[in-house]
Amino acid sequence: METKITRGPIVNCANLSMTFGKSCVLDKIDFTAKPGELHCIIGPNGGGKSTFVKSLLGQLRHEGSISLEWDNQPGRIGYVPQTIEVDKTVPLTVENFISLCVQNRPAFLGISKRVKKEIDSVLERVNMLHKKKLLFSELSGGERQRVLFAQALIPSPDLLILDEPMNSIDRTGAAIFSGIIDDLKKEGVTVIWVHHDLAQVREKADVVTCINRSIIFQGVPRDVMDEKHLLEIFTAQPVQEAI
Amino acid sequence: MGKVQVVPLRQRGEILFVMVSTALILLVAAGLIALKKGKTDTNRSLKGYQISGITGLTGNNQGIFTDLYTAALDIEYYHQTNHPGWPTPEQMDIDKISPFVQDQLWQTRGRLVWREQPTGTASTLVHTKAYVGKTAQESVAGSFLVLFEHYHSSDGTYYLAGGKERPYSIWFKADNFDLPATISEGTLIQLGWKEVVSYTGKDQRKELNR
Ligand SMILES: Nc1ncnc2c1ncn2[C@@H]1O[C@H](COP(=O)(O)OP(=O)(O)OP(=O)(O)O)[C@@H](O)[C@H]1O
Ligand SMILES: [Mg+2]
Repeated sequence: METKITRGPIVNCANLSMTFGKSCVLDKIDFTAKPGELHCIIGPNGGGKSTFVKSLLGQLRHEGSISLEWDNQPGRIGYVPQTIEVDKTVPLTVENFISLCVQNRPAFLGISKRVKKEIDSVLERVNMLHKKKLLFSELSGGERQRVLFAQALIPSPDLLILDEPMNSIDRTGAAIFSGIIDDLKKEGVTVIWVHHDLAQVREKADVVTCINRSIIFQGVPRDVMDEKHLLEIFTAQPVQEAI
Repeated sequence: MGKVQVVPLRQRGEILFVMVSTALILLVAAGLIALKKGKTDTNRSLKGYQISGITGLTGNNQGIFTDLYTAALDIEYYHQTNHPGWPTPEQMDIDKISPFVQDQLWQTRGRLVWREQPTGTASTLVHTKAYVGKTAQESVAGSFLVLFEHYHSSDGTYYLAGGKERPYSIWFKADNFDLPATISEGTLIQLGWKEVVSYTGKDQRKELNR
């Protein structure tokens, strides 16, 4: 028998809008994500997916309401950004990079023992432990994404928000991510994942929201992700990229 | 149930924080300066034969003094690295070291003619060396003399002459140019030369910690 544990919050947006200057990037989005569920966000490039997740984090000046309803105390939020710019000349190792994300003290003071152990364990989980001494700038796009993912796992998140780039994710990476997300779901974590692999979304997501400025469709993938719907959105792109 | 509203980003808090911190830093700095002020005003008293390089010289003379002060460091360094050689004024003119270089500025600052001046104190212990710059226009600038004094022990260690803080001193005479046969502190003073002293940060700290 499986009892449903809830660790994460219910994420609720009502009438969420976002404008950059004069251009409206998000238009009256209603959205709900629940604990123990994987909610995928899809949409064409420039459709506003990153803008949406950044709003959830309170990083932008949005209009409308966003609330996180926690069972008890507000928990921890892990965030995997779509990209991160690290100057090639900065001698920052993978290990140091993560310590910067998770530790308050300056990196040059070294990494505390406790954090070191945690870093090793999350790097192990994304299969990057053997590269922890490499410079961040030496990594491939997919490897960087794995490190960004690992960083979001310390401390273990109750709400996990991933903004995945279109092209830098590799097959191994995708499999690793999806395995970890399965585990988190079982623990009752709320997961919101900006995803580009539609086949995988159809297979894994509990709920999918397609955003192109406003909501194009929303629901259980099996019901809403049919050929017709998808073609509608992605015709502007070469077929190869879309699916 | 803990319901948390995600508020739109507003930088007001940050701006306020930065402004308050700035104000605090300024206040603390101003406070510290006010506290220290009484002490910094106590100027090191000048001896009768000394003038201050900061307040005791005017216009062109101040400029020449500043240049000479810097050049003296170079000369000293040259001597230490090319021991026992000294650079000639001609060499320094070529190397464009002010006040020795005869450039346009030199034309307007009294056209001091520089030469090496025998000090007349041939001691095997203390090494001395003097350069003198005689003004061509007393109305524009005075004459200067820079005197180096130090000794090297047998193992090559370099020592300052007793009681000296610097291996050289700079002397000034506004008019009636005249030189003693042997160049030393005492003989220069006798002929009315004034030692120009400048306070470096190090001097100031010493003064404050006294
Ligand atoms: N800071 C900003 N200032 C102005 N416009 C912006 C800003 N950030 C994003 N935009 C614009 O908002 C729109 C949505 O961008 P966003 O990054 O959210 O798209 P996306 O769906 O994440 O695209 P991708 O699939 O390429 O990641 C784009 O037209 C973009 O140019
Ligand atoms: Mg994006």
